[in-house]
Amino acid sequence: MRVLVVDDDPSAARSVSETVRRFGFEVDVRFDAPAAWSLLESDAVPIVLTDWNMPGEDGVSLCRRIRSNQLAYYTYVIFVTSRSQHEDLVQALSAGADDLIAKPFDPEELRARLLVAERIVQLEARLRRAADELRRRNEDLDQRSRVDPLMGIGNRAAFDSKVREIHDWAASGRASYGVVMCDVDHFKCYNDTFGHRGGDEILRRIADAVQLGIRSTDSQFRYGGEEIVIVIPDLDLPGAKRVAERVRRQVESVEFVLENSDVPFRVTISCGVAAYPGEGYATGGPEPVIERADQALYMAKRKGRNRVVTSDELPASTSREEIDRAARASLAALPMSGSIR
Amino acid sequence: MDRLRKISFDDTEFMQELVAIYLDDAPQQLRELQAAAEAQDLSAIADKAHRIKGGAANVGAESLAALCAELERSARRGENQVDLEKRVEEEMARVSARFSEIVRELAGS
Repeated sequence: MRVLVVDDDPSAARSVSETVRRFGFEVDVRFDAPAAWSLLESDAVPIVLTDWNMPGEDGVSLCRRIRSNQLAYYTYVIFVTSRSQHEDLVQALSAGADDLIAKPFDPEELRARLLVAERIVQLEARLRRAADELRRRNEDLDQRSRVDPLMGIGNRAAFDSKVREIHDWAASGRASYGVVMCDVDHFKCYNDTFGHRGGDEILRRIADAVQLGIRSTDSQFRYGGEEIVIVIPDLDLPGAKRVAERVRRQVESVEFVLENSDVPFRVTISCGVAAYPGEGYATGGPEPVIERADQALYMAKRKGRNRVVTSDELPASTSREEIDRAARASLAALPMSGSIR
Repeated sequence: MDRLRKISFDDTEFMQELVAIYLDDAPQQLRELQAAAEAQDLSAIADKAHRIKGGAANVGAESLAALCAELERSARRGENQVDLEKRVEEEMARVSARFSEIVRELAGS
């Protein structure tokens, strides 16, 4: 372990440092406090043996510097001094000294006190490592608790905090945002056909496709089984709809071929879009916006899937029956062709 | 000599080195003490006496250390004891002479 000896008296510095070296420590010697400080700033020297009275900056001042500057490790400071008055002891300890050794020093006492210092320094280093490890694991756990392990995107908890953050920002009058609820069309059929592993693979690929469709400032989360929700900052309803449409097309464009089958197929999603501010949302949380996006998604399903519906297309009453009726009416308005019934 | 042996682990070469370092440093300390005394700067006299005391005690020059302790105390009390300062100078000269002898003896042995 490294020990720094600070003393302006060369013979004292030499005898103390040689004693320290013979007891198996590595020694650095400095003859004044500023030189000692510059070494401590650049190198990890955990034990300092310092004289008290020195021309210019004294040992007490050096000790205060060590204590007031957060070094990356604990520095154990021992005063080696002929000052032995009660008030000297109090002053040294108050300045942050860990221990004092009387001058002229006794080699055996010096050794015993160095061993105490070494024990404390090692203990501190162990505690520091343990604390670092704990912090790292906590961060890791925190990270994991917010990610969906299957799809590799944020989970419901991450969505809840993200949408609340974006909503609070927007509610303060500074911005708008959109929410897009997406649901994989006929997902149950894929699970039934390809098994759950196949279904999982499809979900992963869909998350990749969604990522290509959104902007870098948007974020997607797994909302439920085969549901993805996208948070779109700084866009209004038409803007959010454009993003949703891009996402829908990205998913549609992916050609799937699963391991145990060589028949290529495509997967589609339905999307419901809502945006804040708008539609007289009461003050409060983002829940009504999410609710509107969910209703729009339901309507997209009723209108035949693989499409984007915005909340302004919803009927005044958003009961399921009303939405069903509105969906049928909008389909009836389309020019009928053979494929649409 | 007991003190020197103790802190040099009975290593003759190291003992020589310590004494040599002391002898090398002593004249400078003496000059600074004299300058402080001439200027009648009590605070500087106390600091120099403290410094010489520490060095002397380290190499086992106990009588010099004791004289310096007295000089430091009186200067901190605000007393300008010229006699005492002179006695410190004389004792320093005596100690240095004795150490020079020791160095020669050690070199000869």
